[in-house]
Amino acid sequence: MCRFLVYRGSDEILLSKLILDPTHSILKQSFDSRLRLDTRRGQNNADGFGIGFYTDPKLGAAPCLFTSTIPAWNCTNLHRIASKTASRLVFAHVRATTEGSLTEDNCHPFYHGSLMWMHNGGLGGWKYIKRRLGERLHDKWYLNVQGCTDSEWAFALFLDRLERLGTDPSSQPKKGFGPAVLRRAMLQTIEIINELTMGIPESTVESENVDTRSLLNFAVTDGHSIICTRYVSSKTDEAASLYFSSGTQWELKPSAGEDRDYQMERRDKGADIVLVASEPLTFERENWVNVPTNSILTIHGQTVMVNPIIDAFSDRDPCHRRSSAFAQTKGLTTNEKATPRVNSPVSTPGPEPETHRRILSPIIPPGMGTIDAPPVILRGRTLLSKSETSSSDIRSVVDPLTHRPEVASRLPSQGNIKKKRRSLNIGEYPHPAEFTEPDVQTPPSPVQAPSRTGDYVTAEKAARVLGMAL
Amino acid sequence: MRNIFAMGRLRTPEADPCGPYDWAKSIDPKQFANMEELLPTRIRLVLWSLLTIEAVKSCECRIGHNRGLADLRPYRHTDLTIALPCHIIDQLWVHPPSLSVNMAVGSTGAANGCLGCEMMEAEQEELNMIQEAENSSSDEDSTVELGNMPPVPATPAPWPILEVAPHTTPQLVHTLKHESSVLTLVVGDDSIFAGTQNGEILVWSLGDFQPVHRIQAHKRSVMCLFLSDDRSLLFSSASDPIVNVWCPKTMNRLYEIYSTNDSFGDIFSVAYSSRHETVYYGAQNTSIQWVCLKDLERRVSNDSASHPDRRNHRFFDSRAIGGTSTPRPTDERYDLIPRPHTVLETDKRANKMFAHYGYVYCMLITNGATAYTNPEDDVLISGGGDGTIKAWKLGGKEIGPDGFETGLEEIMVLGEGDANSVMSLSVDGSFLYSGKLDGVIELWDLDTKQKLRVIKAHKGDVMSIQMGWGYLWSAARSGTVSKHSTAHYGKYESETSQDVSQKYQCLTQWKAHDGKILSSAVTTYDDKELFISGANDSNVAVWLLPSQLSPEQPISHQNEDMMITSLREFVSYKTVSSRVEYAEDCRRGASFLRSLFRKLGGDVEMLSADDKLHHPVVLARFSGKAPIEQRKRIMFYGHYDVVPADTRKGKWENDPFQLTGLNGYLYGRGVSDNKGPIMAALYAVTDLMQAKSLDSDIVFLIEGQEESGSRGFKETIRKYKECIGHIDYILLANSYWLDDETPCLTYGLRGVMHATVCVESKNPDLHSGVDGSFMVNEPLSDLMMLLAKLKGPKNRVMLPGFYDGILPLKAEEEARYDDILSVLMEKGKGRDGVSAETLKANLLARWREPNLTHHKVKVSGPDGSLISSHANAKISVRLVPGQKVEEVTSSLTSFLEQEFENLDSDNKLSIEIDDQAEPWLGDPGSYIFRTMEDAVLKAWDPFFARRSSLCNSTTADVANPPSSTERPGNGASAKLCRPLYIREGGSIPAIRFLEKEFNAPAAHLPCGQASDSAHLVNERLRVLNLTKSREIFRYVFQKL
Repeated sequence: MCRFLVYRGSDEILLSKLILDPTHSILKQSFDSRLRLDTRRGQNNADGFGIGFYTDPKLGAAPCLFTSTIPAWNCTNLHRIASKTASRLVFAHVRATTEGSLTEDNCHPFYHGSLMWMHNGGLGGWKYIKRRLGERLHDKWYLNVQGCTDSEWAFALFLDRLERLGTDPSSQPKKGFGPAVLRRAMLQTIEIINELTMGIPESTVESENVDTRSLLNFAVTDGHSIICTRYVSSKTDEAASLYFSSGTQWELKPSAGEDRDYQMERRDKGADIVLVASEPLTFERENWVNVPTNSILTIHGQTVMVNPIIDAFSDRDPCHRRSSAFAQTKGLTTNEKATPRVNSPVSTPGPEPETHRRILSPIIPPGMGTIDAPPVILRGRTLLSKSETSSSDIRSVVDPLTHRPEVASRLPSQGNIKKKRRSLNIGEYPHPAEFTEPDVQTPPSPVQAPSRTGDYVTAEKAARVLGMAL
Repeated sequence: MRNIFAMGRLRTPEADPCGPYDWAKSIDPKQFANMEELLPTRIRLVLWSLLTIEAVKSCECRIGHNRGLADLRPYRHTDLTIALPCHIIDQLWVHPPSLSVNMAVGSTGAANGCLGCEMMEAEQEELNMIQEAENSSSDEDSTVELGNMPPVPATPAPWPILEVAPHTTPQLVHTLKHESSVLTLVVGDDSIFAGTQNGEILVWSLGDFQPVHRIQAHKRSVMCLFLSDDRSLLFSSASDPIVNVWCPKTMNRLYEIYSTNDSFGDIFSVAYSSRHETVYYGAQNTSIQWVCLKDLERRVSNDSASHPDRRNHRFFDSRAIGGTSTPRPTDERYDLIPRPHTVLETDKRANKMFAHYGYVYCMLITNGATAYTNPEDDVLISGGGDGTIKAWKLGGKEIGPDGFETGLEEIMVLGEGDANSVMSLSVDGSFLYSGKLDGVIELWDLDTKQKLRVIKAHKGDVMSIQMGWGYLWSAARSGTVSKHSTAHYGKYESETSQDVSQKYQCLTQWKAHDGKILSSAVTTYDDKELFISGANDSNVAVWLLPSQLSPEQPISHQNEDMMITSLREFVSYKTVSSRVEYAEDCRRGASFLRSLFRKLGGDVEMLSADDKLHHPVVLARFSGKAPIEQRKRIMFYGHYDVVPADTRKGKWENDPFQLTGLNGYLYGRGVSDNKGPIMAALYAVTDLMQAKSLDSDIVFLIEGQEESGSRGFKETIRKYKECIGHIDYILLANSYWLDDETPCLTYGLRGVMHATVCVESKNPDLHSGVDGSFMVNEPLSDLMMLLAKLKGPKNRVMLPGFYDGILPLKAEEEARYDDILSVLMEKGKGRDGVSAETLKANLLARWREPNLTHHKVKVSGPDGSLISSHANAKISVRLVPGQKVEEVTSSLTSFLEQEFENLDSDNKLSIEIDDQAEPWLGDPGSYIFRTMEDAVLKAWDPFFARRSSLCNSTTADVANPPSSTERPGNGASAKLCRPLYIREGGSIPAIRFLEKEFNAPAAHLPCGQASDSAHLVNERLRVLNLTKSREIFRYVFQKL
């Protein structure tokens, strides 16, 4: 899936300092993404990119957008533009399609008036909620959708919510809409997406093996305030990674030599520069702060605020652990480590590609409209916890095999996981590679099914009762 | 009631809009109209706290129209009495704006004049009176009459009589410069601690601003420093993100604290509760984490695998395509971080996530500030980036079975999450001040949770606020510092909010830094009230505040500063004696000295020569207390004139005539030569007088022509010899050490004789082609031939008998040179390639051998082919003991005349002697030098102690035979147990003259260091040297 980057500064920054130059700039992330374990097409985010930035207010409140479907590293125009353009507020996005075709209409960021929107993740059970979502929208927003991605529909939903909150999203106010209303609209957007996915009839979930969990890392701005979320609609899974960094200067390290890289300098306690990114842009580990799972980040002025999103999927226990597996199945990685690694730092950072493919491919959701996704075979339900053990814990000294029974037995108590189920898609054929692995464990689905149903009901109720609030 | 004949209790009239401090409006001008002739214009107001019976504020004020009432402001707003000595006033109405402040116009009857005693006596009666007043003022009338007091006018007077004098801007005492931004400051008992952007903690001593420690404490910016309440532990937090605990004295790293929670960003704040022995730290990811220092379970080994330096990170240690991972960034500075004694790993559960919904910018620990906890419980107060302030109840190291709630329990939230970040906090009683973005300061009451006041104090964000001496000090990103009046928390809670509305005026604001001020501290050190600010212009500035307390304190307490203050003023006089345009300044400098000596108890006279052409010599006598027949008379000779300062752009860092403190040095023209040493000697005398231990008479003889050859000095002294009287010892302090570390004593100076040799023709200037021939004796040719005769091969001076009287080098004298060499040849002094022998020969030649120099040749006429009608040359001869200046002069004159005669020229020769100074050689074995030596040893004891311990260890360590630079067989040669005895190649004309004139031995104490740059740009003197010199003089004046 995708990577995104947000810059907000008290001063303008040359786009190349963000997009091209840093060691792990978003351009480099487009072919060397470290926190993406979806190896279907290597570590590439090659399905286009987009940058959006705000210009001098004299030119209007709307952002300038530049999107393209060619891989970012191949785009000469991007290099030309980035090294001669400066802005105080920049969105950048590189794309690996999961939803929607490869057209410029589907490239992030999306915009309307002065508002700009990016998404990294996916809506749970998208094809089962798309129509419901559409029905919820005012015609104006329904008809406004140009492309065919779930991200853009989410933006439409956001605009609809914003309007219902008494604001005209098209009004392009001089000083912005203010962070409060943007945040409320964002929370309502998430709430409705949750509502919609919960509304998928249980029978459908059961029979078509629908995964109702959403990964909702959104970023929205009106040119003044920025709202970012890191969210997963699950209590036991981690959201896709999101980091931020703030400081007084984003400059090349003064030390000469080969490892010259950008770093965030702290000359004072202020935050003249704020960066939010799916993956850190540099390897200066002290610079990058983990955005906590299920929280909402507000940048207003040069102040950063982080609020938890409290709903049925939140947990305030600092020891609460979430599983990275789900995000990984979506080709993303979470910030947190699943278990502390005891052994040496030279341990393999990711699973062997073979193992990885073996575990992940079966649970890539079908029917997500991924044009170029390889055909995959149904293997029944793969235990989420199993894939966690196999994928993220493979680096630990703990033998994953010895853990499996225990994890499996813990499953029923895992609250509201909505396990994605797959239906056999007629016409899809197994990938040849899959046939060579007869030893992949297939959990006994009939046994587990009832307990999962129970979980689902509980979770649904909980979410509705608690609602969502800050 | 004898002492109080007027007092009253006043209430604010309902509609009275008069602002705070506008005491004036409430005073009836008519009351003063006829008092002015009767009263001294200056009176002193003392504000008394009835609770503590101590003078909390005192100020002088002037009575009359439009004259200032200085700084009259209640200390505790509810408990105030204003007492005035009786002989001043019969009616003074002071009308505090809102409160019932009791005012007593006291009559002391001028009997004993002790206001304090009077007040004590009066207090009881006064309280009774207040009771009465309260009873009788039960109606809502705005004023109450008591006794014979006239009514307070209901409408305020139309013009002010007493005005609040403007609060003066504090004095910048010292600047401490560093290479990187200073993010945080704390001040201990006697040191300033600063945390910097490049991860260092710097420690300076408060007394003399000497650097004490410089520690690489963190890898990245030090964000916060915190000193425990008993000042035994120093905490530092950084963006590493690590918290370190240091011993503030030794700067040993006692603890290292890390968290296993990943990527939580900068640790903006750290605080420590001694009661729970627990450290709390607030981070960028909104969390507050904590760990108990004494919790043995949290201790891990120094190489724990989960330390951030070692543990693996999913992203940062990930591998790129091809399998290589990016190496951890390193820096050679990281290796300098000292190893901790103990490493603590924070419990995963000891983590309050979302403590704020923003960065946790600041924290403090307090107790008894709020009614929501037991008075003795420690309360943690934190300020967040979201704009809220929270108070937390602490549970120490306990962590409940279900995790996290016990360690930190939220008891109060102040403010809404409006994103107006709280950058700084300060507590005063139950009042909490918070410094926020955009220059806003908010005042909260921790008991009622009310926001009492919002002050717009600055243009930029308020980065630091401090409470000090009843004032609120705020420092902002805009580089300004403001001082505000406050309503101190009193016991009448209900009245505070009312009162608060009248407070919080900005009393003074000043630009403290060019950059953003990031931190500040207040402290009282040595009775000086200091405000210290740190900024991102890499400077720490130390400001001396005009005393907030009573000026009644004994004078001795003010002395330490007075020396610097006097020096500051002294330096401001441009006493350049060599330039006519500064003649007026020289006179003014002399007048300044005169009044200063007089103020400090001296008996002063200005000695002028008859011609009045020269600047006067200032003579000051301080009388000792010994019986007159046993009393010694010690003369201190110095000079108040200076050499010119080249103020062309870029040469001087600062205005040379404005004393500037920087990194432990005072900069300014004349500060080392010779104004600083004069002040040290003067204040040494003052010290002794105050301690009542000055036995001898001290005579200061400060001349104004030293830098221009002491012209007229001899004549003046001879003229006033009777007046000066008998002298036993002569002291002066007009030179420098050999290096920057080793104290020295100067026992010898070369003499000097300046002469102008002129050859004149009777012809005018001639054309060399038209007129030139062997028949014409050219003046310049004659002069050259003469000059050439003066020096022979190897620069030997050819005057007959010139070298005859020179004293031979004695063994003890040579030993002194060896002492000097042992110091100079030490490692690291940068004597590249110069052998000890060369160096010694060099010193011998400069200090104890004479020399002749040709300075300059001048000819008449313009450039071109002509024969000048006259030519002159400036020459000088440096003389050493054994040579008499008169003999050398006559020898030179006769030698030149003889040689000129040999030329058989028809030109005319004239020789003019410009200046003469006798060489001087003191006796290092004499009483005066031994006394000086004792004094130096005593004052610089730490230096000599350190050196001897150093030498012991190095001599023990060095197994190799001593190298050729050391004297063979003497392993202890590098050990220094007394100051170096040095001589100088330069000359001070007066010293030998005075010795001879008064028949008294002289001794010379070099005050400054070799790097002082006397006569050069950026002349300076180390503060430490100045204070040590004062100590030395104190000792010497007492013992001689």
